[in-house]
Amino acid sequence: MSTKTRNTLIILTLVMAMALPFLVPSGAMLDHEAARLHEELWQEDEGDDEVAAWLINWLLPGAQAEEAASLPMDFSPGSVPDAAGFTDSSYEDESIVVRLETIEQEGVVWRVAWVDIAHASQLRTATAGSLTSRRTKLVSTMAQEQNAVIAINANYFVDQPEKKSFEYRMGERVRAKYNRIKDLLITDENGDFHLFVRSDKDEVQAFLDAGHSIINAFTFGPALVKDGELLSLDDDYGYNPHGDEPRMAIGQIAPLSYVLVLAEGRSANSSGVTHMELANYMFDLGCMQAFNLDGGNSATMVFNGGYYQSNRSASNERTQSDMIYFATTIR
Amino acid sequence: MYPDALTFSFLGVEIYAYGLCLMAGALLGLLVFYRLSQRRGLLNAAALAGLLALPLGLVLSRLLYSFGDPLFQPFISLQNILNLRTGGFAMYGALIGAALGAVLTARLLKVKAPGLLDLLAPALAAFLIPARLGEGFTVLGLSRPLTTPWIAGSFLALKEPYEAYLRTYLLEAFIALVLFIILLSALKRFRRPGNVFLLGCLLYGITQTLMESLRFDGHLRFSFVGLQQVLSAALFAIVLITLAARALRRPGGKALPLITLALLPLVIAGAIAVEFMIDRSPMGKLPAYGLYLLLLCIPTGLGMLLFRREEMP
Repeated sequence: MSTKTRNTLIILTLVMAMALPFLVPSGAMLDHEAARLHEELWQEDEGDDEVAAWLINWLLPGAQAEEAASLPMDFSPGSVPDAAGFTDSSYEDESIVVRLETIEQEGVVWRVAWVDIAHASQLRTATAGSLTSRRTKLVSTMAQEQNAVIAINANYFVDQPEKKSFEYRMGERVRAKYNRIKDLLITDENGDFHLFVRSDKDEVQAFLDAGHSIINAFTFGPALVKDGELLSLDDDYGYNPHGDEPRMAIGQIAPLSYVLVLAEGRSANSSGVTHMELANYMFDLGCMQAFNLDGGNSATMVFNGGYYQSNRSASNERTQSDMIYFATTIR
Repeated sequence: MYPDALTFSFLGVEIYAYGLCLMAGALLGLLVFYRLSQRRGLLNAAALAGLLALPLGLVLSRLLYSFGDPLFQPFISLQNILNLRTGGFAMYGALIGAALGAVLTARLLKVKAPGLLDLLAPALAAFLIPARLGEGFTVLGLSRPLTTPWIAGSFLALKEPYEAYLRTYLLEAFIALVLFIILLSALKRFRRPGNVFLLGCLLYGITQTLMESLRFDGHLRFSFVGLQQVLSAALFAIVLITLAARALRRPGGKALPLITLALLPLVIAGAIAVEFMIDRSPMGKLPAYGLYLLLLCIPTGLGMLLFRREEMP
């Protein structure tokens, strides 16, 4: 190789190196590019259906017009709760009542939170980062940021398969792929729960056709209680259905009345529960709808900035992508 | 965490700080590579290797990200993969691409690949220093929320209103600097061609196994298993197996290579156990990482002993 050729190669290489800033913006996918790609993906899938759904939502906006004592349906935090409203096991103001109970039963410690709210907008979700990022945070931190009266983990949506999960948060679509194996929980504009076993697409469409809006959607499950009936559970459902594990579930008792249940596990004083035991428990509590959320070490319940569970501290709390929380509207 | 920092628009293209750092890293790495190669009379080979390494590194880095990051999975298409401006690259792809460029050059110019790879190793470490610092301008290179007050209060922490995160990219840049110095020193001392490159692989694999555990940015991560962490563990395991196999073929004591081969699966199993401990145990993160560090001293020590034996006159 002649000196001239060698020098040419070196100069060419250095020029290529200097072109890198024009080619490489970030080691991670840029947020706005991720949002654009998601949008393209949905448009491919839905086409005209999307326009129809938008029109239905526009023509039938549900309860969104109710302005009295509500919070904005977005990711803004709730109002700051009144410190005087808290006791060790309750919170109460004009817009929300939370009552906590610890029940020890057959070797299992159950943490139960009864929540009654005045407006559907008080049932809220928050994410650790943008909807397209894989960012995670402690639920306890998110609860602080959002002024949550009570908060629980949701379904850790960033770990759900992108192509097989249907996720909405605060009315914004995160992913829109139906999972034919996992169940789906949708909360609507009235704060009502709707369960879709195996994420049945036709049933979801019927729900939309009835004029409802999707405020939050969680692909996880299994659905435990539907329309007041205890469901028979799939033996092959994921998340170790027959194993005694820490579990988290959310249920709706009546309009704007909910129950959050954490079954503690993996400890000497609480063994954890199976899916079926959790389903029975939710049914016995009087749930009309109940849904299993992410359990194991993800199961986290935060009340008044502290944990409402044993053996939990900031040093062993798992960071997660999202949470469900209840907030007050009183300013 | 930082947003992906936009610095300026040039010729209608948005130039990001990360891209500038990557450019600085590539230029630094190339200059180190050329300088070292010139001293050993391999500048011709280095000129071609650099030319091949850069595009190969870019392509493999993009491919590894495209097929390895769950966030990109739904968008895999030729068009989207080729659209580099979406962002998304894997450092391991860049390193593998660079090594491949050196091997191809050695074939084409009929020079010995191990010798060329030895010169490439410190150059890659030099490249990593600015490249890792560049992650400070992206959403990458940060840990789980810190719970140890003295770390959370240090310059190593990125502080947010309610949480602080360890800037792992700073640690990784520092490790790259130390690696660069060690490899330059090894280049003077090691006699067997290829050993400097192997030493680089061993130390990078071991340190990156720990760094990838500390990082919690979701990059190339399936649940709590990081693809680059698996690659790091595989990298140091391959180096140790290679060194042990060579030692077994040579006359002399067989105890050290046999112990290495026996301990390697235990170290890997131990690392997996510590990962579970970090994710699931009520034990604090600091003692768990202390344990991790101690565990990784085992392959480091075994590797150093095997290198020492190979390099003994």
